[in-house]
Amino acid sequence: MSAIAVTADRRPAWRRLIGFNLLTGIVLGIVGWLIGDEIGKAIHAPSLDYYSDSAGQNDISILLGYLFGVIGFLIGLGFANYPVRRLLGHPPTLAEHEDEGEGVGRYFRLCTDHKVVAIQYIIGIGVFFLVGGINAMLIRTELLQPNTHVFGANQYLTLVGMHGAMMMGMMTSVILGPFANWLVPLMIGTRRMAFPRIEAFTFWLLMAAGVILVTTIFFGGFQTGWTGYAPLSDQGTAGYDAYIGFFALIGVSMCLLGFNLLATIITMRAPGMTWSRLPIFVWSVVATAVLMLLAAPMLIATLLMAALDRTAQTAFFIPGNGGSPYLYQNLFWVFGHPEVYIVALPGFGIVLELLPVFSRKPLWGYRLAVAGMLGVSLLSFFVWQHHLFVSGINADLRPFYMLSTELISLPTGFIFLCAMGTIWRGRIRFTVPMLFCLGWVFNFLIGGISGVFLSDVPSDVTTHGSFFSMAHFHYTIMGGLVFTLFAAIYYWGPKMFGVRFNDRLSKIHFWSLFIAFNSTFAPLFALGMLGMPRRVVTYPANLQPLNDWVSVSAFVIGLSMIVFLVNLVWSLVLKREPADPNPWRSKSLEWQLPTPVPLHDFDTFPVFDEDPYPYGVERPGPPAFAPAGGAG
Amino acid sequence: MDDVNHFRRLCLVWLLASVIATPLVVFVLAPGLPPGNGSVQASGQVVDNAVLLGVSTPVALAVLVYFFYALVAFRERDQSAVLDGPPVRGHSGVQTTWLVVTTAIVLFLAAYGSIRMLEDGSGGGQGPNPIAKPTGAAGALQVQVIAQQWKFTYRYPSYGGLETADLELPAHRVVALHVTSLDVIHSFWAYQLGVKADANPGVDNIAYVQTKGPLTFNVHCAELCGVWHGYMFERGRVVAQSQFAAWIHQQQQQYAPVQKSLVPYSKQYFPDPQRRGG
Amino acid sequence: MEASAPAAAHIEPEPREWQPRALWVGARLLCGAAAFFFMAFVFAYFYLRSLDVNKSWKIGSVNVPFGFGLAIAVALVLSAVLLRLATSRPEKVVALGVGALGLALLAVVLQVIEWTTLGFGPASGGYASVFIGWTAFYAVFAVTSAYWIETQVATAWRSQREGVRQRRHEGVVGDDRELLSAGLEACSFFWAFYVAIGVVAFVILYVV
Ligand SMILES: [Cu+2]
Repeated sequence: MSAIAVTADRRPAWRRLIGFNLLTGIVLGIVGWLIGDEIGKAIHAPSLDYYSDSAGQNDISILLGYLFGVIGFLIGLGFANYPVRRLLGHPPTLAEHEDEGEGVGRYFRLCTDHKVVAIQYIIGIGVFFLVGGINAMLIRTELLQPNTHVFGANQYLTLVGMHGAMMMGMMTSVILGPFANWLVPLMIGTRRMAFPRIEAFTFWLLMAAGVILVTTIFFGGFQTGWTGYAPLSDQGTAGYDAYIGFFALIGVSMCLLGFNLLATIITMRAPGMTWSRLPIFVWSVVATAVLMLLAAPMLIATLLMAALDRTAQTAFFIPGNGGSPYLYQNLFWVFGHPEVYIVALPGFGIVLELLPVFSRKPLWGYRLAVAGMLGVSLLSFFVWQHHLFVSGINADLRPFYMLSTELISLPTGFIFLCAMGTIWRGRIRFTVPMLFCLGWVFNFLIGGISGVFLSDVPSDVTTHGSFFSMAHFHYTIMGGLVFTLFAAIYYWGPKMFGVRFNDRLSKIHFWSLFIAFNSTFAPLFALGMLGMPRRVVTYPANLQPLNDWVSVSAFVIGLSMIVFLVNLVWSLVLKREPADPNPWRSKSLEWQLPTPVPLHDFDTFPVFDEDPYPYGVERPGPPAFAPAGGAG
Repeated sequence: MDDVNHFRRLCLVWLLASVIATPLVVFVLAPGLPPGNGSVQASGQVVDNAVLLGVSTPVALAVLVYFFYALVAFRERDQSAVLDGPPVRGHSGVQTTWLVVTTAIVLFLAAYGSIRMLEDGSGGGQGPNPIAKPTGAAGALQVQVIAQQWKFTYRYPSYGGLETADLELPAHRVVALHVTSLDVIHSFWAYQLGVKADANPGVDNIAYVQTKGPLTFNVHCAELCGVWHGYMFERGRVVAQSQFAAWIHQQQQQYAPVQKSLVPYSKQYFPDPQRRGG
Repeated sequence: MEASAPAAAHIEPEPREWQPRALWVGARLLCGAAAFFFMAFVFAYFYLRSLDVNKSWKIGSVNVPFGFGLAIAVALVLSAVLLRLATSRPEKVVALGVGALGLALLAVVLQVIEWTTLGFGPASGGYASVFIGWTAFYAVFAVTSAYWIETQVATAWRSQREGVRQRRHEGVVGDDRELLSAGLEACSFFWAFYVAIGVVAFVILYVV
């Protein structure tokens, strides 16, 4: 298969556990935590105990514990080896542990093969997606009854915060992590990312971040929700430090992911892959990566300010000492609104990438779609104060933010128009990925229309901060991101994993998810209009029937996810029916490769002479290239 | 069937659906929607929502009808062979029309929303220097809303800075609510009055409301403010002018002993930075 | 290990200009990220200053030692100039690089001394917060950048001693020369940009 001679590892199993791998990483992570904790305790002096700390915890030692823990974890994984070699003047290399065979072991250590990193991402993020999902189930369990409580108020808010942070933080990479890392090199005709070590680094950092967020439960949780508003954060228990650690690492990971993707797409396109032939998914990656690269640093800075307020007595957000809570809100949303589009944009790309395949037509309005994505990307930096319409910040600027927010619906409208143009007179096939794309169309339409009410100040006065806005962003994020994520999994899964999914289970998954999703979130618009604020542990008794309906529907979403897991286990582990190399008869490059994709992707680089949508015309053939291990 | 015929049929279905659905939404559904007619601002929001719904219903229907039509009309009937559709890559007329129509809609929405907001403030918090004032704002009754973990108290500067635990407002009066906080960020949401304004420590966030007839309204904190955020709710009342005068008088009597030890009325209070905890 | 895999004869090598260009582009992208990071502090400075919440922009006498700031800024600028000069003088990379590295570290050391001798603390109002936060994270990333400079110097030094290595990585032909000079260019560009941020910090925090 592979062009590279692979030497099988014949060492006994226990021997193979020793070395730079996940196990060592965990051990050194714990050691690092202990070291950081001790240093923190040594620094912590009575003079720094200026602000009373309700939990009796020492924020400095906890934050240093996280910092050193992450450093230990990364050293254990082997991330320090190359930097140390470089420190000693050894010349640069591009990869690490790529050629270690086909074993399972490479998934548990630093590996710079973009296909391995993609699989690591999908499994690793999947685990935390599950955690976030279980949080949601627990939240809905609590809300079954207004006055009988399953959880305490603090536990409940911690669940809400963890759910939000997990879904808004870690899930920013849920499409770019697995699919951009896997697809971008194959789509633009290269064998790797520009900086393969950074690619692996973003993944392992994300895993460390996820674990840190979960540790909040040992330190009293956090009460601030995923937005972490100051000055509530300043009085928060030590669990808030976990939020800071989590989100700051997510920010670093996001920034580097965007950086790496941009560098790759800008410099490493194969001959003939001009900007106007770039697959539309790659364009959506460009638009997203720009936002990641530029918006995430602001988040990191903001969280570091919050950390300084909690540990070093600065007063960025403390009004009595010359700081301002408005500062936090501004900085957070300058990051936060682009962040919303970081979550949404890859979905646009997936829908527009898949519709041509299942309509058997070229993408309609390619330039318009590109303009739409870049337009959304650019405009998203100018709308942040629409989160603050009633906060009293710059009230005079509200007409401007109303306009800029509503202007975003123009480029978003382009995406819809291109989707509509693409299916017109096509030969539409209702495969599972196609169903998820159509689900996106419906959900995102509702999400977009409900957004109009939130962008309009008079209407926003009632809907702001209520379940209405909660329903709105679940329609755009869950209805947008999660549906396109599943579209991508069902579409590219056969290529990535080399197996076919069970069609019946996949269809059950789609229909149950689609119906339960709408049945969960549509009533939330009503609940918001009826006066139910977000993040409350109790509510008026007359809202109970509606809340119960929502909760039961949410449990059906949970069941639907179980169907998906069963499908995964059945198809990937038990049945393992080999997939057709090109089951969808797609004309784009990644489907012309053998399944599974060989270690070095291509022997010769492809030469492109048109975009990947030559449907309805006689094409001379797939791009000229030799797949790895092929004829060459 | 050719493009033009498909398109004609499609437009017909859409027109029919819009003509039936839009009036239903605007005239039947929208007037009954919250926040109701508890105040001039609340009624304004209802009208505003009706306009937004009136614009968005045909737009949503256009997309939905289009997709339903296209998915049914252009579905692949022959599953055995993989045949391609026509290689159409765009249509400049359609693209231009779409751009013009959506731009027009967006500009209309933004303009309409701004005009509505500037008319009477729409009940939203506008910071210390509001620009959107309702008529009669100059003679408004000043009421300060002080949020703290986890309750609201109210001060009436025109009645000697009287601080009460309950909110009562006179009917048919312009009221300026000065919303502020003593600790973290809260949000004062008087649901039936259509008022929402964030309470920030050290900030005087003003929201105007023109009350109508007597009414009991719900007050809820709408910004996560700590553990007991969910329990930060209560009731307020709009009562007739005479009743309000009597109530104020009674409150002044009741709180007279406490009044002396209160800090003087101020538009902003700063929490002690050393006491971050609630 | 990464360099041991023999490139099979029929694998078409990667275009040799890809990685140098990726370094060139990467340095510019990093500058964007760094700019946005410190933009948060610029925003905080002007925002808190304009609000002057609770009349606490500066509590008590908050005066920064201008001389320290100037010394740090000058050390940084000189360091950037030396490193930039090194890109066009391949034979003097080690000497110039060591100079640049020394000046960068000197700036950090001066910064640390300044903190310990400041007449105010982090709790002395909005200005003090921004000053401490901005300089602290500037110093942290300056140390990280110094590491990057060190790797360039060390690589240049080693390649002068041991000769330039053939690039053995799978699918890439040629030797390391292009990659090394691209790495130095990227490093010096980023460092120059970062120093420019430092000069902006000096102007805003000490002069304005
Ligand atoms: Cu509250």
